Order: sequence, then structure tokens, then C-alpha cells
Amino acid sequence: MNAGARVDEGRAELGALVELCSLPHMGPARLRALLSERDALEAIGQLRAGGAAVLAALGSCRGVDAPLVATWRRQVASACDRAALSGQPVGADLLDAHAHEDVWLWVPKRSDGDGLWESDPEPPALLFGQGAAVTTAVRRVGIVGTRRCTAYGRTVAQQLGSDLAAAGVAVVSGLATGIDGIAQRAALDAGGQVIGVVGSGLDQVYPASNRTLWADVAQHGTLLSEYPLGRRAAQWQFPARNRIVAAICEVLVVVESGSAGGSMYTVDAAAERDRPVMAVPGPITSAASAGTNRLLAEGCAPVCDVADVLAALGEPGRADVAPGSLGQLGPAIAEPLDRRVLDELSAGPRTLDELTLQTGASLGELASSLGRLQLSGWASEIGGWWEKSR
Amino acid sequence: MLATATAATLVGVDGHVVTVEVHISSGLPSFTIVGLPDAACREARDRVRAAVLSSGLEWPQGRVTVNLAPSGLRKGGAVLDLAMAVAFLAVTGQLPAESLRGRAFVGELGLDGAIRGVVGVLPLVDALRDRAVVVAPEAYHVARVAAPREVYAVGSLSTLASVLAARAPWPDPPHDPPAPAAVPVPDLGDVIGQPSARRAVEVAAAGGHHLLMLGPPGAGKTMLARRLVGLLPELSRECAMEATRVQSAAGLPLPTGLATRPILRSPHHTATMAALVGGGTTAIRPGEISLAHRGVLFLDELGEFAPSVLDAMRQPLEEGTVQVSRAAGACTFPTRFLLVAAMNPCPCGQAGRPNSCRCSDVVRQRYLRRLSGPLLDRFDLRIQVQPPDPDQLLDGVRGEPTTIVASRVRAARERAASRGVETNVELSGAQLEHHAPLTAAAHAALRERLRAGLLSGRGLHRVRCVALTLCDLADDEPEIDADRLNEALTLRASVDKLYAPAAA
Repeated sequence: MNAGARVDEGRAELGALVELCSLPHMGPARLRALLSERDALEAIGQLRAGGAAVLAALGSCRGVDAPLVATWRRQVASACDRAALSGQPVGADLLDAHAHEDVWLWVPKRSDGDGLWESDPEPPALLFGQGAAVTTAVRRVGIVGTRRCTAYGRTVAQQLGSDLAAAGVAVVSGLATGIDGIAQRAALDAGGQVIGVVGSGLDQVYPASNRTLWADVAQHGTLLSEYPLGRRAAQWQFPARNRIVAAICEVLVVVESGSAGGSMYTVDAAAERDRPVMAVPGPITSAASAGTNRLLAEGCAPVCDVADVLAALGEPGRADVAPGSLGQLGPAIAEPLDRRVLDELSAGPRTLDELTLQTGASLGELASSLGRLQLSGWASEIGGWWEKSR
Repeated sequence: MLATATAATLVGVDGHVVTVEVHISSGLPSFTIVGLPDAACREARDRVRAAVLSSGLEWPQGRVTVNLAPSGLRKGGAVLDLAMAVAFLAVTGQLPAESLRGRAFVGELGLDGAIRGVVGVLPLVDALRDRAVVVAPEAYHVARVAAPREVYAVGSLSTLASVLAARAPWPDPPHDPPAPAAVPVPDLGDVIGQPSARRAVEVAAAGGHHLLMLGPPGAGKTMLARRLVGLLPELSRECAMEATRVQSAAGLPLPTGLATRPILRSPHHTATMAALVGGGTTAIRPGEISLAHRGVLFLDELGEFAPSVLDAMRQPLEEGTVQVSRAAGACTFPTRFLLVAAMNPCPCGQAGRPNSCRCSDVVRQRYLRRLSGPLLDRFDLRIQVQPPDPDQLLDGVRGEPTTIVASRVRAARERAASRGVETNVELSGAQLEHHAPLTAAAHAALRERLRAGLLSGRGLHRVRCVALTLCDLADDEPEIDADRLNEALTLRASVDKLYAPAAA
């Protein structure tokens, strides 16, 4: 769908748009306000002419003042000078740089006809992408959640990611640590499609621990960003990124989220765009599930299995394709000690020392028991803390 | 006219015999020292002259030349003062020349003629073993450790002159030092609860496995490390000699002569490369890793040490010696020590505990990255130390005391000794296969771990070593069953898991 836009968009207009995107402190809201009454080429012209018109147009945006516009004016002026020297349109060098990194540009329009942005209150002016183009031919489910997930959230995100992949549904998420990355990794490993929307330039991996995942998504899926190459990650860019996740997915699943997590921005954005929001129930004692449980209380549909998600997508038939193990019983537990350990873990994360004292088992027996539980997927350990993961 | 006296000088942790030749001739009065003396050694001329005069002896006018042979060897410190003085007395006829024969003189002189102790008495006297050695009274007990032919403790130059001139008998040796007033060694019984940390400390002591403790502030990491030394058995005479040599050469106090208890060294994390590994500008001194030889090197706040300094320890850890080379020469120091390190898991100290760490992922990872993978790999025991259970803390029930645990450690070390090694860490792969076969269940557990990528080939060997130590501690047949193996795996927890808790 974006292929047409990519080719037909005049090179001059596109170059001007990228040039505007690359201005310091230029974000989606400012860009939208700027382009509401003029196109990118006109905006460039106005900036070069002194920027008074631009300052007037952006007057309502917080933080835009005369010095910032003056900075923009200087940057635009030097870009125009470069362009005049090379005989190319403004921003052509940026276009070439992006093309060199295999980054394609996508100018979403409300009138695109794919329904993605039709009713969007804040459509992005320009998206940068790597990998396959986004197509509405594939069903898309957003999986989001906290960065500081528990073992339970990790298991659920993994299972949902791979089950959706098996059902041929693309997983849309934010490529962050925690739930986002886990779901996408699982979907990739299961050979599914993924769309990762990031909050920095496509060459600025953040968080760095997700470098491999980032590269894999670019290679086997789609990587999207609102920001040009070279733009570093900044805190304010992530909530803005979440609205694109909400816009691209058809159903949003929140796996685990605290009551004030970033996932709640995605939920709000999805609600604004009439995307159904679903939540995975969690223990009411777990802070990491406070937000999702609140969503359920407010009337969101619960996710107990991938079938629930597929039903919300309107494709219940696909559930047969993915006989997920979520909601099913785990492997049987034979040893009485294992059962005692799991009982302890049901009440919350425990350290090895606590388990030794509470079960009265020797360190060796306990180590064996935890090893068995870990291999069968019942428990997992992070930094000395054991958690029940089913 | 010429007289010679024998002494020794310190190079690294070894003594080298030095012949002090004193020549006096007519000419303008002067006092010259040749033969590569350093500044302190050259200052001997003022000390020696004053000491001779204050001792009621004579300093005839003349041109005095002192040569320190071999002249290619750099001599440092005041250790040659006494030998210069007696050789001068001999050359001026105040002492019979033959009274210096077969004897060696190790000591610094005060301006009042007092003989003072010097740094490195043990290696110095060791180099002079086939002679009768005269030392300062405070150095007597350490000197006797080297077992030279005879040791005499003399307090002043005037006394020594009368003895050598056969006008007086050798003074009585100083009394044996009072039995060290039972130094309060911290007891393991103070550690309440924390079963896994106690276990790790015991295993480290028994098997010589390096130990890394991670845990939040106040969890008791430092407390555990200080109690580990008490678990180690007494040093054998040979080991004690090696350790005492280094400690003597570094000028550490040796109140009982031979250091029979393993030492604990805990350098601050601002330690430089030279301080930790050895080095120095004038003379090459042993570093902390050598001072901790046959003892425990405790690095608290491991994450705060300079990464380059930590990595410099890798080779000495593996080889047991370190060769420190400088333009002035090279020295080899022994470095067999038990490395115990403690650190917080992240700057705020709470990493790992679900939903309580305040550090960002970047900060946490940067904190870990200070430890290189190869260094982490040297730790066979990597445990999480969690704060003790509040109930137990308040109950006041003490843990198992040091004496009981130490006896288990001693028994385990005896078992290791029956395999021809001092501790289990020294066992090779083939020896392990021979001494500690795996049961079928353990085999299966290992295979699963290896398949799941939870264990590397290198880790496998270390885990089997630890499992064997666990058998030794239980006084069991050295056959490694699944429980032992799993316990060993638990004690060698993967550290990196801690730092990327939710990485995809």
C-alpha cells in the first residue's frame, strides 16, 4: 500500500519532508502542526525566509520559540545552499543516505484506503522503514507490556508470540526490553511476521541488549520509526511511538503492565483509534499485573489463550492451527519436594535461602528440584530469585 | 688496607649475597660507596660514621672506599649498614679480620650505634644460611625461621664490637615472643541463616575454589569473606615459608616468626596495577596478589576496581606466579591465593529482586561490563548473598561455628591430598574422570544442561571439581550423583542472567 506513495511522491517534496524531520527537536506533533496548512516545500521556503510564519503556525506548540526557529532556519539555509551547489532538490543528500542504508520512506495518508490512518487523530507525517512493507493483507496483533516483567509475563508473551506466529498473524510491538521484545523474539523464532516500531532512528539501537533482535526484525520483518537515521533515543519519543503501534495493530493485547506503565499510553492510543484492547489476567498481588487487572475490571476482554485473541480478530478458525499450551496444564510434577517448592513460589518470588529454610531440604536436593522445575518450564530464576513461570 | 664482610640485599622476594669491601688509604678524608647503591644505601656513610663514633670507637682520618660486590646488582635500603661498619672496624684494626669470617651481618644502624631490623629478614637470612648471621633483636625470631647455621641478636654496634674482639660473650637471645594473644578471629557462628552463602564459603575453603558474592548492601558479603580465612587449615611448613618470605620482603609484621595461618589481604578498590600485581619505581615490590600467597585475597566492591587492574590478575591466577618486568630488571613472585570477591549486583544494589532495582538497564549492564568474561570464568562459585531472614536474625540462634566447619574443611583437604593435589581445583580433566565418576543420573542432568546451552564445556570441568569437593565435605564416596551436581551448578550460578533480566 505504501509502495505507490513511495514512488509517486515527488522527490522534491519527499526531500523537503525528510529535511524537516531531521531538524533538531522536531517531533511528530510539531511536524503535524507545521504541515497542517502548508506542504513541506512551502515550510522549507518559509523557514528560509525568516521563519516568522513558521513561528506563528507553531505558536501553540509548547517549547517552540524564536531561538529554536532560528536554529531551524540556519539548518534549512545551509541545506538549501548545499542543494543549490549540487543542483539537487533540498534534502536529496538525506534521501540518498537513507536509500544507502536500505531505508524506505512511507508517507501515510488518511486517504490511503487501507483503513490504517483513516480515523487517526495524529497520523505520522513520515515513517522510515526497513525490511518488508507493512501490508493489511496480514492480520496484525499488538503485544505490549512492561519492561520489568515477571517470569509469568515472560512465559505468556513467549507463548502468545509463537502461537500468533503459528496462526499466521503478525506481531506488532515496540522492540523494548521485557514483554515487547520477548513476544517478538518468540514470533520470529516460530517463523512468524513481526512489525517493530522503535522510538529512535533505525540505526540507533535502543536498548542495546536488543541489538540482535533489532537486526533480525529488520531482516525477517518490518522495522518502523518516525525518526530519521541518526536520531538518538529520547524519553519523549517512546509514548509517541506507542500510538503507531496502536494504529498498525488490529487488536492490542497487554500482557503485563503496572498501573502507570508506558503500555497504558498504547492502550489509550488504541482506544482513540477504535482498536479493541485485551488484557492478560495476572495475580492481584503482583504489581506487574496491576494495570492489566485494572483494564479487565474496566471491561477489557481477557486473554486466556491465543484463541481469545484470534476470536477478537474475527478469525476464530485459525485457532486450530495453533494448539498453544497456554491455559493448559504443564508437565506433571512427580516429586513431592517439587510440589512443595512450587507451593512456596506461588506466593511470590523466593531466594534459594528462603526456599531452603521453608522446605527444610538440603541445598543439593533443592538444587535438583529447582533444576527439574526449570527444565520443565515450571519455574525460572533471575539473579538469585526464583519465580513460578506458569 | 682492605677488609670484607658479608651481607645480603633484597631483590624482589629473594636475598642476594653481597660482599662489602672496605678499603682505607691515606689521602684527603673521604667516604665513597661504589657498586650501584641507591639513595638510602649511599646515605649509609653518614649513619655508619656517626654510629662508629657514638659507640666509642675511632674513625681515623683517611680515604675510605666501600665497594659492594657484585657491583652489577642494584642495592637498596639500609640493610648493608652493619656490614660496612664492621668491615670498617676491621680495616682500621679495631676488630680482628678473622672475626668476620664465616659470619654475615644484616642490620641498619642508628646514629647512636643501635642495630635495627630491616625489611625482608627472612629472604636475606635465607640467602646467608651457611653462615652465622648477626641480626637486630627484633628480627631474631623471623631470622631463626630460615634456619641458618647460627643466629645472634645484638642490640648495638658497641656490643657487637666487644663480642667480635672476644672481650665479651654473645648476648642472650631475646625471649620467645609471647604466644599471640588469641587474636579474635571472627567466627562463622556470627553468620545467621544464609545457608547457601555459608555453604559456598565452606566449599571455597575446602576446594580452593574462587568465590564471587553478589548481593545488596548489608547482606553480609564482607562478613562472610572475613570468616573464610578462619576455615582454612594451618599452612604446611613449606607453604608457610613461601608465604612468610613474601610477607617479610614486603615488610609486613611477623610477630610469631613463621606465618602459619593463611593471611587475609583486602586492598581497597582504588588499588593500582602496581599495588595489586607488583612493581614499583626504585625496587620491585610484591603486589597484593603475592602478599596473599597461600592465603585469601578479598576484593570488596569488585565492580569498582579498574577493569585493567582486574584483568591483570588473570594470568597470575592461572599460573600461580607473576613475573613483573621493569627496565631495572624482572622479579618473579608467587601468587597462589584464594580469590574472594564481593560486589553489588548493580549500583543501587537491588538488581535481581523482582521490581525493586532502580537502575536502568544501561547502567546495570555498564556495571557488569567492568568484569571481563574471562575473569568471571575464574570464579567457580558465584552466589547471590541475600539479606538474612528477619525472623532468624532476631531469634539470636547462632550458626554453625568455625571450629566444626573447619574440621570438615580439613578432612576434605586430606581427601584431596590423597589424590596427589592440594585442593580439587588443581585436578585435570583426566584425573577427575578417574577420581570422580558421574552416576547415570548426573550424566543425564549434565547432558540436558549442555544441550539447553545452560553450561559451556569449560564450565563443565569446573562444576565437576566443585561437585567433587561437595563429596569430600560430606565424607562420601567420590561418585557424583545428580544432587551433588545440581548443587554445584547452583553454586556456580550464571552471573549474566542477572544483568539482562528481561532481555528477549
